[in-house]
Amino acid sequence: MSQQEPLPDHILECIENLRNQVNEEILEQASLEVALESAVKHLPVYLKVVKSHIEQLSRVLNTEQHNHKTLETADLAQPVRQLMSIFKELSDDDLLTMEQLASLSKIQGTVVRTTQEDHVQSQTAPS
Amino acid sequence: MTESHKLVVYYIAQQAKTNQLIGDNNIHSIFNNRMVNIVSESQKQAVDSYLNQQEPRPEIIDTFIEVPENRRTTKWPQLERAVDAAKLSGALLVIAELGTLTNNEYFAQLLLESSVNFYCCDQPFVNHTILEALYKHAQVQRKLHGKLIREGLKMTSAKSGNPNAAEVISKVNKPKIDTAIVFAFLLQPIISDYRRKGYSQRQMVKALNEEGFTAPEGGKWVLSQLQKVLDRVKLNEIALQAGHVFSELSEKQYSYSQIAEEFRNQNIISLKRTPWDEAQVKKLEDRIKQIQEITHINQLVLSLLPIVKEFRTRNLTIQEMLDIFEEKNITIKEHVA
Repeated sequence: MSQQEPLPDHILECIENLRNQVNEEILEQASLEVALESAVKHLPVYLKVVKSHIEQLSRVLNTEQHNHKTLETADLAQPVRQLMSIFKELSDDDLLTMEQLASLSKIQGTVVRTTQEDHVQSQTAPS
Repeated sequence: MTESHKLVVYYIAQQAKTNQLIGDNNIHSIFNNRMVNIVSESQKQAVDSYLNQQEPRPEIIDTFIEVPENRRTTKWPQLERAVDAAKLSGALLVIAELGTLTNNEYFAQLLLESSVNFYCCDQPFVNHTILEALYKHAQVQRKLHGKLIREGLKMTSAKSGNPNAAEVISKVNKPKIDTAIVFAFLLQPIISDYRRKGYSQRQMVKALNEEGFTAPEGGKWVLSQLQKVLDRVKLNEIALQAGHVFSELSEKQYSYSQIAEEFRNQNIISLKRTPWDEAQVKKLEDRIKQIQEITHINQLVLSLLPIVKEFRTRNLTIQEMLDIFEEKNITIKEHVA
């Protein structure tokens, strides 16, 4: 696929969503750098602890003791449902790309911050 | 042979590399650097000495060797197996070296809850009653230690050193804390079923272990572990139920004590047995924020995943990906105010 080819609509929609989510200011700073850093720190721990337990939950709920419920009928909380969707899609390559994106955006963030701080200092320094 | 003449022996081993064992002799072995489990001579001698004192000599029906990740681990799979074996055959569990393991709540609780008869070669005076006392003493010490650390951190923050010490530590631990919150959400439907059946906490531990739903880090559940998760389940439930009321009151600039009063008036279940107070409201606020952040990051990953996949299909470099984000007005870096 050509790099120049326009991005399909569903990807543009995802980018739009991503922009809105980054700007929501729920995290300590509204930036992709902070969001990516948080995501790549959380995902490995979620994969280690939560993923295997979702499989166990599915098996346990489907017993007579729990009226043969399924993950879909168990009224699970939103964070769990979200993680189920993430685990369905997430590959090792995706995680690696996200880690690389987090590293590069952090480096760029540091460079920009330093430049901006230098600029602020030069503006406020007594002549 | 009577049942008391049957023994299940439990050793604690350490891992070592084979070249560390032959190091001084300067022998090069084909097994160099292979990891082996080493049971100390003192443990073997302690068990031998115990056996020699018994008349008639008991029969060892099974032996288990544990290689713990560390002394504070929550996983004791060989102890679980040893306890099961002893229970099944009515044998005495001989622990070669108890050492300081009474400080490990998971180890101690596994033994206490099993009700198997045990004998500790290095501390023969330890029976169920003494183990329970030592375990409770360790719990009190842990709480005091935690309190000292928190006070120390506050002093550090107030005086010198790293003024953000407490903040940095909580940031580093955030993924683990958030995972514990998600885990509580995950367990919630099972707990709801147990509650409907009127299970006690001990019955819940038993049922979870029987149903094969393992503890957060794997392995069997112990009561103290479940109690911590139940606290989180309750806090999650109240955060979801009372979240909107809290937001409304916060928007009206209510103070914590006013919110507590309003919660009391509205008969919202409190976090503790005592009625709502400022501290409980603060705790609830923290949890609402934590859930919000968890949901936010998850949603962000769900939006990012298809983009990342598409970008990889196009063989874009990481820099090119960031350039597209920037082009689409996504704030990549934080800005200095």
